[in-house]
Amino acid sequence: MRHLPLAAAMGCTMALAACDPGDGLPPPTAPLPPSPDYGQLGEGPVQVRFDGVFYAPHQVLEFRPGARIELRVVAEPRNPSIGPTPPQWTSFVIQTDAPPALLSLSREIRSRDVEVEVIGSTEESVTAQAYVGIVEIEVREPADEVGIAQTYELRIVAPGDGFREPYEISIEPTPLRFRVAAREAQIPCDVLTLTAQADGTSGPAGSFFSRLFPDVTEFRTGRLTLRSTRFGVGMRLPGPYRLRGGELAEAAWDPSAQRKPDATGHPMLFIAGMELMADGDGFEQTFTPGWFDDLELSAHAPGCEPLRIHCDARGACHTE
Amino acid sequence: MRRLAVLGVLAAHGLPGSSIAAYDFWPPGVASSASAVRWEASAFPLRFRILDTGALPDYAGLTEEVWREIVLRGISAWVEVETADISIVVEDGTFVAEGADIDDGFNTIGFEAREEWGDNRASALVVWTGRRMIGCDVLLDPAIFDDWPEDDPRVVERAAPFLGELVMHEMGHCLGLQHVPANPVWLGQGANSPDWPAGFLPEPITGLSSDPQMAIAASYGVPSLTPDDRIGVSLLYPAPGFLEERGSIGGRVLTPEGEPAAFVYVQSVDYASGEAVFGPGAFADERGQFLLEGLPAGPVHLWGRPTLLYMERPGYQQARVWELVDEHRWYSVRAGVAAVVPDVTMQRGRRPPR
Repeated sequence: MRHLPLAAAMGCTMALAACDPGDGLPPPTAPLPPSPDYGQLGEGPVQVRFDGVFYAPHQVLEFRPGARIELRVVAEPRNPSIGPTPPQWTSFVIQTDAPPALLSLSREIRSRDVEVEVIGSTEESVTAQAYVGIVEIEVREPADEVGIAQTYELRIVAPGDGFREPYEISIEPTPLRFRVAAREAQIPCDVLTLTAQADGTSGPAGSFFSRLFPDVTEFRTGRLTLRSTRFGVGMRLPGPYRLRGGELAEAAWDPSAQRKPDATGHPMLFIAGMELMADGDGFEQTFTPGWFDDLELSAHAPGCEPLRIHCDARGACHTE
Repeated sequence: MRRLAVLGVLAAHGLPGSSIAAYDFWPPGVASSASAVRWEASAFPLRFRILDTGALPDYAGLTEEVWREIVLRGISAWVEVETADISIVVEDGTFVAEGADIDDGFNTIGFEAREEWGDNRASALVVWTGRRMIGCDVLLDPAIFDDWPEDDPRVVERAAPFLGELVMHEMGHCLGLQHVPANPVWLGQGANSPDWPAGFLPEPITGLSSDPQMAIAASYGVPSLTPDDRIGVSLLYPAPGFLEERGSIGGRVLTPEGEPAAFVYVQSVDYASGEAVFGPGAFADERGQFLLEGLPAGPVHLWGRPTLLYMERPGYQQARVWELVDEHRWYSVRAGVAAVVPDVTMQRGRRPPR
């Protein structure tokens, strides 16, 4: 038995009165679009296509050597993926025109239990297996530059003897396009600098932060600058997160304060400003934080010792 | 008997948490705009009717006319996104019914008394088939102002803007956007913030940057969409040239042990306006993989952070990434390219107190 997705009517069938377009809204058009044929929704061939985080058919995926990427293969409507045994479409084959020296491909079929509710019954549901195809791409470290930066395709194709009956199965014709980037050179460790300069400013935390964190009274500020002549570097900002909670008083401007205690942790700082500027082949990033107890952070580049800075509750910053 | 799978999902605003499987788009678990549910081009202009159940709240002078204006404002925020191609019509008059019916073929928005409101204040019931959105009803709790005082003008004046933000949020669901997490970092660049009382904020800052309107927590009174909202909806309904001009950054987030750091939230910072505001973000999936789409070409600042929500919800508990510390990375985005960058390994830091 084939499972079909829910079909709900779309579009208006009542006589259309003059519509108020309102500010910025388009004028109404008449007649209204016809309601779809309820019985036709979900019919037609099963279409097999890529899915998952990296399913981006309108762009060229660019992989780095050494990357491992997982793509998924699914069928639409999704319900033909549900049943006691793997459906016919899971016999798909993956093809690429990329040379084996650049990457390897593997495929498998995974399944998991799903609860499927039954339309027309608010209580009834059935347990079934849902199937998904997994394609793992391992990008190799090429010995030379051959094939680097060329655009290749990844396609789903039918098995040599075709898909078995009973359903008509089509494959989304748009391939995934990808290329493999050249290996990036090691970032020189001296390209990265991190400086912190406390500006000596302190002041009252203000009632907003005081009501969130009753023990905070003062803040300190400074300016952090990270410069790098390359991209791909990073910075860590250990966040001493706290939960705000309790009934929040004096919050008439904020209806959320009337809710239950907040379940989101907040760091004991605010950032008064950030700027990012391109700088040659790299960038300069500045932060102007205000912190309530202390602040510590580190900048790092692959293969380099991290640069660490600590700013204390008195507002002094030093490099560790 | 023909068995049909139910694909409708109730998206509630006011919930302090949502399933960890909630990414930016429908259905839950979808992390790429290409797989997301959306209205077909032929469905536009989307048509909504104002549902009249006789339950309009008696608060702050809310009349049918005022309510209609609020609805129009909430909707026009999406229509006016320049990088998206969206048109929505709110029809004249009202649709009188006892309540919303997702199967009636009409998209509606209105107040309806429901037993299951609980802590929720507004919801969007979204229905789709395949990748095609086919219906949406927006519902608001008629008791929404029951706890609001009537003698504080500051509170009363917030009622209409608050409803407008709810409409804006729920219409985001109707267009295909899911919840995103609240950003826990206070970014003191609130050009759009309301007037704050003197001494309310530390002197260097005049406001607080909002969470995206599609966040699961408050946006601190900021009545406009953020880049995260605008780019998200533009990925679903791109204006000509949008996709071609933008690029993506993807990769894998790992724990210090090399395991996938599932459900870390990776968010971009958008500097296009001259101020730093939060741009597109995405949860890493269970394999630690993420893809941020719709980024403008040029240098980009990514901010990875643990999912700091402490609700007793299975997904968040399973995530176990909350002890990781924020990780910033900088990359260069190229138009038309989705670059998969080397693995990002996060580190542990001081544990937040429970």
